[in-house]
Amino acid sequence: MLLGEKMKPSEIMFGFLLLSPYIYTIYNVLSKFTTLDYFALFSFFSLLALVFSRYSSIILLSLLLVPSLVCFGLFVLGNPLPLIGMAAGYILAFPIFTMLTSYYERKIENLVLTYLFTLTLNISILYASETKSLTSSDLIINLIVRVLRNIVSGGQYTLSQPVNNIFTILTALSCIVLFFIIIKRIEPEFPKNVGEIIPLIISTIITLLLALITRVWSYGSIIAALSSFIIIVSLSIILKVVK
Amino acid sequence: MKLTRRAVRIYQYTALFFSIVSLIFINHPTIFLAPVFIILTLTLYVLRGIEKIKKLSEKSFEVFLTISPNVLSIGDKSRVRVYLESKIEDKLKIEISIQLSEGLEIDSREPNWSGIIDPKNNMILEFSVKVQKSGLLEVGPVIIIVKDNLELVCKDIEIDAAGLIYSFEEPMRARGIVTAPLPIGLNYPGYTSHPFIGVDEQYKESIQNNHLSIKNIDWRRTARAGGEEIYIKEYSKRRSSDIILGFGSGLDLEVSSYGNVLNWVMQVCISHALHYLREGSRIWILDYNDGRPVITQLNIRYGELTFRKDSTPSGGYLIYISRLIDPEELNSLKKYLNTQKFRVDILLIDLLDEISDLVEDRIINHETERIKRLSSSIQEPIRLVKLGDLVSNLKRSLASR
Repeated sequence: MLLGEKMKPSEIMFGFLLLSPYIYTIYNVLSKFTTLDYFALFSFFSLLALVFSRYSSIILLSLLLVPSLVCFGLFVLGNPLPLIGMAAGYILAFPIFTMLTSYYERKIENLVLTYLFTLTLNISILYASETKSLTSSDLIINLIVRVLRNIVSGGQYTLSQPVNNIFTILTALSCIVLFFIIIKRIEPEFPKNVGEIIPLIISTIITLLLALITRVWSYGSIIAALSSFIIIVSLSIILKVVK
Repeated sequence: MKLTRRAVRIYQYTALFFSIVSLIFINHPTIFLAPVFIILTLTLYVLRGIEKIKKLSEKSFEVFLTISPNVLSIGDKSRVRVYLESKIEDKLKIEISIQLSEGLEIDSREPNWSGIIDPKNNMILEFSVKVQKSGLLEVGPVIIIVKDNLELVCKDIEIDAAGLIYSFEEPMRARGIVTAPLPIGLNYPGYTSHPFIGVDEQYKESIQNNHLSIKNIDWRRTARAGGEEIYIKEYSKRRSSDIILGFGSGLDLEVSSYGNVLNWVMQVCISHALHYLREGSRIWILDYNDGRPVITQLNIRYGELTFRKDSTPSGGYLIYISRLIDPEELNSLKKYLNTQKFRVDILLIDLLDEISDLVEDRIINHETERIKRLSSSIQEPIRLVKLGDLVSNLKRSLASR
């Protein structure tokens, strides 16, 4: 089924909430662009058009291939900016594109894996855009230089406080929606009674509590310790169950 | 109780993501939130799922397994029908698989099913198998995998609803039931068309047991015979007895002159049992089956031999043919059958003649010692029988039922 086709309003709303951290990242990046980079915009929308459009795949591929070839030609002729712009657009669209293409993944575990992977990429993009003004080339350079430097040095990201808070809250909401979507996919009649959503409510409260704690002590060791504790306890229970 | 592949994968992916990304590459609070939420929610639903399915057992289901036909020859096809009924009120997500013994090949459809059942919606699974080798072949047990609603945890329940297929090397049909009375010219008292019991012996036996009671004499038939023959009512009653032919451990091996010993023994037993079946006896086949005894009734239906699963004898005469390799064999049988109601005759098979050229003297000595020890230690009537003498011993056992 094509994405968006025969989707109920509630499904569209859930999809929007699921993608909210990604949309926020895109908004955050694009709002910092000093000049409008048409190549970046074009590549961004052409990648997303692959998911939403009902048109022939040949036309869509030509939408991707022809501009890429033109940009590559310009790059060979000594003008690298269009190519960098296109690359920036693709990088920006990649997390949301991956998430959308995996939306109807039959194996839900793969959906979780995709979500976690794109979330990591999303944070990297957000971190790369942590400057007052931005161009396509800045985004690419920041992504390569700053992110790689942090990975190598083991340094921490320092997102600005408002960006971090909004992004954290949106991620928490997105996680809840992800689980709700997964459960609805396995059990379409979910929830049949209140008892069925109690586990979801408990973990939602804990996650939102953690999100609020993050707001007060960003990067605090309390969160890390608490999170690690929850994960270790959960895995211990599960290992006991499996045995 | 175990986790489904789905739950295990989600745990693995999340833990991997958490450990690699958050602790090595990116130390950002958002990275903590996602795995914490996913693992916490998953764990809570896993525990909820365990709570729901932990009480389920084989008693929660009723399984009927029918195989038709179940006595056939190599290359024939048989249709298997499995009916599963749930006794649990809630809807259950289940997967069913039916094990097939070696020598049975799927011919059409699959012996698997998955879906939702409840007391109103039962499951019927049909498939056909093709017989590839001779002997006693087993369809079953039925394995039910029950999952919780979100398919995060599952529980394997094995239901011992095995059905048997007996296959011959060549097609075998039971002869028509003889309903005619005694043949003319054989005016011996107590004569029967039985091929294995001597006329005199039969007569003597029946007279010995019954002549004391004059009530047992069938006067009408005696008068019809002109008064020269005496017929005893009890005689015909005794002929229709309940016989259980049991096949124990240590027989499933190849011997050059007999082929598979178990198959050969079964073929001999069933072909001899046919005569008793025709006379009105009820015959059951008991397969020890490595500690999981399976019993089926042998029937003749429209001239065809069939096994009927849903029938167990409450008493009768058990002829148990075995090498008694399994030390717990007789105890298992006693538990399975209430042996107090059965008269037991054990034929302990001695294969020393058949294997003497194939194995070392040490093993032969060990086997000889083992057989001697068994013969002396077992309290039930036991006879040591060489494979070549099995037919005559079996006839004797059947005659003395």
